[in-house]
Amino acid sequence: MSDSGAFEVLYREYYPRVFALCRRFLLANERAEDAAQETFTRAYKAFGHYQPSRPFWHWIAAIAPRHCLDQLKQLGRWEDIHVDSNAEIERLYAPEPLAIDVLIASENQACLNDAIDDLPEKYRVPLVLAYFVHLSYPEIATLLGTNRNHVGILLLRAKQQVRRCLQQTTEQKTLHGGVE
Amino acid sequence: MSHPTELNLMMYAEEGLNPTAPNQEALGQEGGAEWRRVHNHVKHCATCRNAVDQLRQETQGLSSALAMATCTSIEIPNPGQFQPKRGLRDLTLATIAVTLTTALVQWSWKALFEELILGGIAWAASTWTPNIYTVSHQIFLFMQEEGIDMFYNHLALIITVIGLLSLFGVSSIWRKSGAVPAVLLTLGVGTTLIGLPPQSHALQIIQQDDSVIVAASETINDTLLITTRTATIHGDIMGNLFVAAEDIEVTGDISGNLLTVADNVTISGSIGGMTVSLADTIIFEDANIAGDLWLAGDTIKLDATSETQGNLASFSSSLAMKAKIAKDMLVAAERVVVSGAIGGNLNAATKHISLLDYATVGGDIIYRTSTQDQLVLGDDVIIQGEIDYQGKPQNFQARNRFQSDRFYLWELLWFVGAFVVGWLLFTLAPSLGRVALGHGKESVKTAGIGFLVLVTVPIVAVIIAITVIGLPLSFITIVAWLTAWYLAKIVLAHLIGRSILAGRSEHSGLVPALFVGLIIVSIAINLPFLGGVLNLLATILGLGLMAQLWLNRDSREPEAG
Repeated sequence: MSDSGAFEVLYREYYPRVFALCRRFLLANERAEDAAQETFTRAYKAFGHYQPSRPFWHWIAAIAPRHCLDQLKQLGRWEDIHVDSNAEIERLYAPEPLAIDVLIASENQACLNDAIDDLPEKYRVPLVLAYFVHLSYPEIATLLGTNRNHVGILLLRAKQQVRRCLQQTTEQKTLHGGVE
Repeated sequence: MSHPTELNLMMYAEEGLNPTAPNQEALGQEGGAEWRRVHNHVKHCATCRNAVDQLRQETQGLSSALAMATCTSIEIPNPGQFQPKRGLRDLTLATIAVTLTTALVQWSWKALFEELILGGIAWAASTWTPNIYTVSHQIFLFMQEEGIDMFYNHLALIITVIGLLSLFGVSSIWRKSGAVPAVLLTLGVGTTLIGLPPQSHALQIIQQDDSVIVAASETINDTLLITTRTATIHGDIMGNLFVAAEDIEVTGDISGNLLTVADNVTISGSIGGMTVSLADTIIFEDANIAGDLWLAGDTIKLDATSETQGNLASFSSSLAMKAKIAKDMLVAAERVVVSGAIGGNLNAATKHISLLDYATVGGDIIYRTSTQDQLVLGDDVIIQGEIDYQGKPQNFQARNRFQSDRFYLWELLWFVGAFVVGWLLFTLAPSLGRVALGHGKESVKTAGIGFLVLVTVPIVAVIIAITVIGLPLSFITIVAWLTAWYLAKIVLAHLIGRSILAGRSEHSGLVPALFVGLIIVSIAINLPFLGGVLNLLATILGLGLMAQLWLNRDSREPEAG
C-alpha cells in the first residue's frame, strides 16, 4: 500500500479521537474540525518520519495538542499557568476529601463532560493531556513550558474542580428528587 | 508523623514522581528522592495507602470516562476523504482569480471599447472599399440600437464572474487560519489593480431619443458614449467621446479620442487623441487635433484655421482641405482640393486633384488618377518633394508580384515559419502526422468537411457574438479557426511529403517529409492562374483532415508506448 493509501486508512481510524481531543481543547466543533484537519495535514507532511513501530496515536497525539495550544493562544484564551502557583502549593498541604465515589457513581456522562468543559483552559488542557492523551508529567511539562510539579498542581486543581462540580450536580439532583 | 500532601500522593499514585516509570528520566535526582520519601511513608501509613488507591481509581475512572465520553457525548463529524488543508492554495487561487478577472475587466474595456472599435474602424477605413461608409453606418446603427444592451449584458457577465469567483475564494478560506490576512490581501491586490493609473476612463452612457446637450460650463471626467438624434457637445470631456447621432456638433475640448457616426458632423474643438468620423458631411472649423484624422463620408471640409499634429486619412466623394496637416495625407476621393499645408507626403487616389495657390506639401505627391493631367497645381504651390504619378489604381493592383523582391522574402519567411510550426506541431501531436487521405469518395468527403469548417465556423462565431454573452467565446472560436486555417496547409504539406518519400524509404523522417511537402505546397499555391484554386484546395483538405481527426478522437487507438 502506498504512503498516501496507508495514511488514508489511519486518517479514517484516528480522526474521531483526534477530533475529540481537539474538541476537548477548543470546545467548539468548527474549530475542532479545523484543528483536526490541520493536525492530519501536518502529520501527512511528516509522515515520512513516522516509525510504524510506534503507535500512531502517540505520534499524532503529540502533534494535535501543539496546534490546539497555538489556537488557544491565538484566541487569547491561554492565560499564564504559573500565576499564583506558590499560593496554590501552600493551599495543598492539607489533603482534601476525595470525591472518587461521586465520580464513579456519576452515571451521567454529560455531567462529566460539562464539568470538564467548564474548567479554565489552564486546568482543562493538562487534564486532557494526562487522562485522554495519556502523556506523562514530564511530557506535559515540556508541552506547556513548565515543570512536572506545576503539572501536578494543575492536575490536582482540575480534579478538585471537577469533583466539586460533580458533587454539586449530584446534590442538586438529590434535592430535586426529594422535592418531587 | 506528617502525611504527604495530596499533591505528592496524587503524583505518586500517577507515577509522576517515579524515576523508573517510562518517560520519567527527566525527573532527576530530586524527583527520585521525593518519590522514595512518599513511597516509604505510604508503605507504613494505611490512610495514605488508601488515599493512593482511591486516587489511582479516580485516575482510571477519569480516563475511562473521558474515553467513553468521546464515543457517546461528542458528535464526531464524518471525516470524508483526507485532503490536506489548502489554505495557502485557496488564498493563491482566490488572489489569482480576482487578479485575472480584474485584468479581464480592464482588458475587455480597453480591447473591446477602445482598441477594438477604434482599431477596427481604422482598419476598415484603411481598406479601400467603396461601401465602407454604408457598412460602417449600418454597423453603428445596429450598435446604437443594440449596443447598449450588449454592453450592459457583457458588463453584467463580468461582474457576475467576479462575484462568483470572489465568493468561491472567500468561502474556501473562511474561518480557516489566516483567513483575515488572505481576504485582506485579496482585496488589497484587487483594489490595487483596479486603482492602478487607468489606461482608460470610467464610462458614462447617455442614450436619449431626442437630443443630448453637454453645456459649455459642464466638464465630464469620464469617457462618454452618446446615442441620440442630435448631440451638441460644448463642454469638455476628460476622456474619450463616442457619439452616434444624426447631427453632431463638438465645440468643447476632448482630452481623448473622438469617434463620431452621424449624418452631419461639425468639429471645432480641441481633440487630444485621434479623430474617427463617419458621416455624410464632416466639417472642421477652427479645430485642433493632436492625433490622426480618419474620415469617411460624402463631403469633407477642413477650414484654414484647423490643424492636426498627425496624419489625415480621408475617404469621401469630395474633400476640401485648407487645414494644416503635420504629417502625411492619404486621400481617396472623387474630387480633392487642397489649399492647406501638408507636412509630409500627399498620397491620393482620385479622379481629380487640385492644389490651389499657397498650398504646401512638405514631402512627395504620389497620386493615382485616370490620366496624369488630372493633377492641377496652382502657381504658388510649394512642393518640397517629388511628384510621382502611379497610373490608374487598377493598373497598380495588377503589377506582377513575381517581380517584387518582397514576394520572395515573404514566401521565404512563410516557409521557415511553417517549417518550425510544423515541426512543433507534429512533435507535440504525433497523431496529426499520421493522418491520411482516403481513396475516391473519402477524399471528397474530407474536402467537404474542410470546406464546411472554412465557411461555417466564422458564421457560427458571428452568431455567437450576436447572442450578447458570447463575445469571448466568439473571439476564441475565431482565433481557433484562424489557427486551423494556418495549420491546414502545413498538415497537407506533411502528408504530401510523407507520400513522396514513402516510396524511397520505409520510414520517412519528420524533417525531410515536412521540408519536401512545404516546398511543393508553397510552389503550388503560388502558381499563376492555378495558385488560388490550389491554395483553397490545400486549405480545405488540411482543415478536413484535422476536423476528421478531432471528430474521430474517441475511436482512435491509444498511442503506442
